[in-house]
Amino acid sequence: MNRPLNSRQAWFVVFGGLALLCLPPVLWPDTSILLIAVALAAISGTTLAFQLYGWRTPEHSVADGAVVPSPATLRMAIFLAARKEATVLASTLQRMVTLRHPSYRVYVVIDHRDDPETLEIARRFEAEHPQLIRVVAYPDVPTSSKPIALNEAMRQLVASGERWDVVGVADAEDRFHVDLLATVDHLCRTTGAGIVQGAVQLVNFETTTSGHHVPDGYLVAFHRWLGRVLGLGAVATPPGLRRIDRTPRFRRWLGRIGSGWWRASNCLEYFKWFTSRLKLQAAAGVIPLGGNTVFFTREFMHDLHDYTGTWWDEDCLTEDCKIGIVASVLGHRVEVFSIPTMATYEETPATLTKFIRQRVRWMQGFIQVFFEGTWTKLPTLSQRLLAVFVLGFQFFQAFSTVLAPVAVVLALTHKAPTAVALISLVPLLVGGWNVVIDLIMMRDFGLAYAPAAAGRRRTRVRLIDYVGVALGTFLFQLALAVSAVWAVQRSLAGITNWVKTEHLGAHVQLDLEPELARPRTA
Amino acid sequence: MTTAPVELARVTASDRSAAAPGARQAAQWAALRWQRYRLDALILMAVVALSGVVHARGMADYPNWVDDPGTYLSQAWSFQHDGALSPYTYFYDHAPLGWITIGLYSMLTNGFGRHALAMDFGNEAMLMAKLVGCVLLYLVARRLDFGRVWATVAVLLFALNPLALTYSRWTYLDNLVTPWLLLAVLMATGRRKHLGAFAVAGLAFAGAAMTKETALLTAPAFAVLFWQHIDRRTRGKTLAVVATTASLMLLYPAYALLKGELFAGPGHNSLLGTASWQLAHRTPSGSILDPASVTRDLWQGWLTYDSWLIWAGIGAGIIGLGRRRLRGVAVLLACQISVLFTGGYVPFMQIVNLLPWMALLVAGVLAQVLRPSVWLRSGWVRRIGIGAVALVTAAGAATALPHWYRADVSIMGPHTAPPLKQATAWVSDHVPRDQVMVVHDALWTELVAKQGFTPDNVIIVYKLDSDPAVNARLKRIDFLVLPDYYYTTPAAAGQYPTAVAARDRAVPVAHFGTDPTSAVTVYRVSSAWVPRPGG
Repeated sequence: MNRPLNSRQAWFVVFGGLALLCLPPVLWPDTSILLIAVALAAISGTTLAFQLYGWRTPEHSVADGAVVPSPATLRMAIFLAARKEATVLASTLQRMVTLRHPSYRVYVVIDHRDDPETLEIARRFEAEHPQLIRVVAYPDVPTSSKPIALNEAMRQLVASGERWDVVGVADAEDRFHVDLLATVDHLCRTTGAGIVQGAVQLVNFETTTSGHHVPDGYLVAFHRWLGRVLGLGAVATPPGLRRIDRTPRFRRWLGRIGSGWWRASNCLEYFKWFTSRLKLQAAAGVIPLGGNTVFFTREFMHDLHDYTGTWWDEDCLTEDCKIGIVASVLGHRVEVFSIPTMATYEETPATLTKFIRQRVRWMQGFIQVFFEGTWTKLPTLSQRLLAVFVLGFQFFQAFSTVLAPVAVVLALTHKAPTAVALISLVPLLVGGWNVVIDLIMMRDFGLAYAPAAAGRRRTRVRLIDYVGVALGTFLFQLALAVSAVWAVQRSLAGITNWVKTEHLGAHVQLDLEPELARPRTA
Repeated sequence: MTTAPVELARVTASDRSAAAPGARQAAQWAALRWQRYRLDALILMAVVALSGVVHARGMADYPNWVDDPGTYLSQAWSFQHDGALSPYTYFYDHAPLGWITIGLYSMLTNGFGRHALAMDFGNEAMLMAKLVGCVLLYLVARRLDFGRVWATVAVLLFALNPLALTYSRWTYLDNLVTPWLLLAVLMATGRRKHLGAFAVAGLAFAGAAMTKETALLTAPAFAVLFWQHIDRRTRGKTLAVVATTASLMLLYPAYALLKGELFAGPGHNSLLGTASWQLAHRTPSGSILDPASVTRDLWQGWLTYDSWLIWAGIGAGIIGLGRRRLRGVAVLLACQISVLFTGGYVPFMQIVNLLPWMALLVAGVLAQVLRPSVWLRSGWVRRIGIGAVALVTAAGAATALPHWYRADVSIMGPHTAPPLKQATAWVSDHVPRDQVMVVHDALWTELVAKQGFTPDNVIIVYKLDSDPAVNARLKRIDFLVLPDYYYTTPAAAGQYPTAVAARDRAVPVAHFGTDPTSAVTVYRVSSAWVPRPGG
């Protein structure tokens, strides 16, 4: 990819490539179906293994909850990059100044040039808590991005000569659990890991809090639209419609039907990712990290800087993923811990389009990391293979779900040999049971996060959410497949905008305070 | 930059490589395992070697050739050479994994090619199944907390008792089911309750069911085992994982569905059609409780080989139902025994499915009762009881073992070749390759796979009147190679009308054996006789 193609050329290449991929099934149907079926079976089996790893034995399924932190002794530095976050920053910083750890400071990096509101909030907190909060000015560069902000904070920390043992990354909307730092402190000292990754959890699997409502209500809007389409002109809205529209129950129900299917799948994906998959990858030594609630020891930061010449790669779309791979190359272990009460809560993207854009960006980042080739320096062959699998997993998984029924249909309509047709059924079978396991996990997710959402009747997992997960599985993977195709096109065209996912603060509106502030009992 | 007053846990380079298990770690791990399990490994090697020798010595000529092994070998050969499930139209008589396994084993080791007789290869396959079964039986015994001594006893009871020795030499699907079921039990009872182990348990159960569908009868036993061994904390996921792998057995009905042969219909075989015939319309064997039933005859036949393990096994099974650790296996035995009471069709070799579990339960109950620690903790009454059990065991062993020894030596000792084996040799020496022959099942694979006859010219006798394709193809019959009792049983005229009609126009040209239950006559059929379709 020396000279980027223009957008249209890139689409041409993508669809040309897809068309080329269709060629073998047409020329050698039986062999192709067999190969596809075997590959799909392998992927669906691996998916199953990956997402059950965290529960592989009863002991492992409860191991994290059994961690009891020893007295904290390390000096923690938390980096918080905020840009146009005036709506959520105050509540985040309010939480940050109440964390239960003897020695920490939060470095808030704000692109002050066009963001006086956010800066103003941070300054206020700095004045009130000079020991805990420090505002760091964004460097004078034309672009604004999180890696640049984090690097600037790191540079200033190193230059200040202050003592620090561990740096952590928080996003502007991340409200850390009050005992999170003590737990990280304990894990850094006892596990010998260079990186500690805490769980991040999307929690708004229902949509009522996302704040997106049609002003008049959906029914009224639909009625108007229908009148326009049928050419009836302006029709008076029946009062009954408006009344139904306004009942919270109807809005909730409609919201759950309308977007619950992918939000629930999205939340579930995070749940499986942090409780299971990341642990397997940490054990195997190939792990893409999350973007926040991640903590690095000083030793690792030194090694990282020695190796890459910087800390966070400012040109990478998923710099956190890259750091994970570099950590494995450098031989630093990653400790993943997932305790529901200590997870950092986030929200699902506001709309499906935004969700797809987010995924496109991640996949582009993975493609970038893949072609940079750091993973080729991993010590063992099995790690390198796993790296390919991990970086490509999103693509494989999405396409395996979408292709599984296609393979069966192909096998049946082309009168493929019976053995081939039988093998093509296996991925469908495994996929079907995978949905059942998803439902079981959705229940686990509900139970694990129910204490946090105590008193909020609406945040309970309900039948309609289970239905959403079951029926939405295929559509969700379809959305991922669309993202994958789009990501390839954008990578070919060298387009790298869409850097940031917008935050509406849905998770902050959740009334989680009482539970979060309660000390964890051992 | 200041130095940290608190030293972070420094990680040395060698510690870090622990993240990626390399060859050194694997070697260390293996050394540790060997240290822990070497005694078991040594015992197992000795026991398996002994079992293998006793099983293999003399297996070429004993027991007598019967029909089912021939059928399964012909199907295995057909799988290897034609990728088909049967040389004739597959009619869902059994799930096909058993002979697919034999076929794959042959493909990997040139099984049919290595041996002078196809039957010898079948015998070898059964020897392998037996050895795998012995290893698994030992591991299951250890898993159920038997000491090494009692685990060894369990394997020896299974390997050396003359009844099991005889029946496990025949190429029966049931002998291939045993290792699958043992593996399923072993994996369902893992101490760590690992999801992967349960996945293998489900897979092994599916393997058993696809080898012979009668293994589905043991489902209640696995319900008990799963109930006992699945942890509450991971119950849902474990059950889902078991269901995932076990549901691979659905590939069998899916195969039928793809072929359009799942449901009964005119003009084609079907899985459900055959199943309903097997379950409802096959001549019932009667309940074992009826002294005049076929089942009782079978039972008496089994007892003539050995009655000690059977009675001890039933006793141990009843006790085992009350012992938590043995309950799953006891229920499994009960499931297999229940077949004898239903009054439905009981296969000749059903005993094969009882013996490994009986051996396990006898050793298991003795292991639980005859334990020094139990003896020391008990009061006088219980000590007397334990003493009595010990005495009965010793007396039983003293009576049974000499009988077993004599029987085993006789089984291992030299035998005259079975009449059908002699007939095979005669046919291959005297019959031109273009002749049409109607033969006993056991001869088909020998003649087609080893002696160069074409599959179309060698017809298994029961296909003659039951397979429309064969019947339509039939122009003439030149030779009949069948045991004499095929013509003389009361049902013969109804079951094999064409063969019986052909014999009436034939002259005997060779005769083998003296025992009327196994003697074989080769008939040359008159060239003037023309078979009428349908007999």
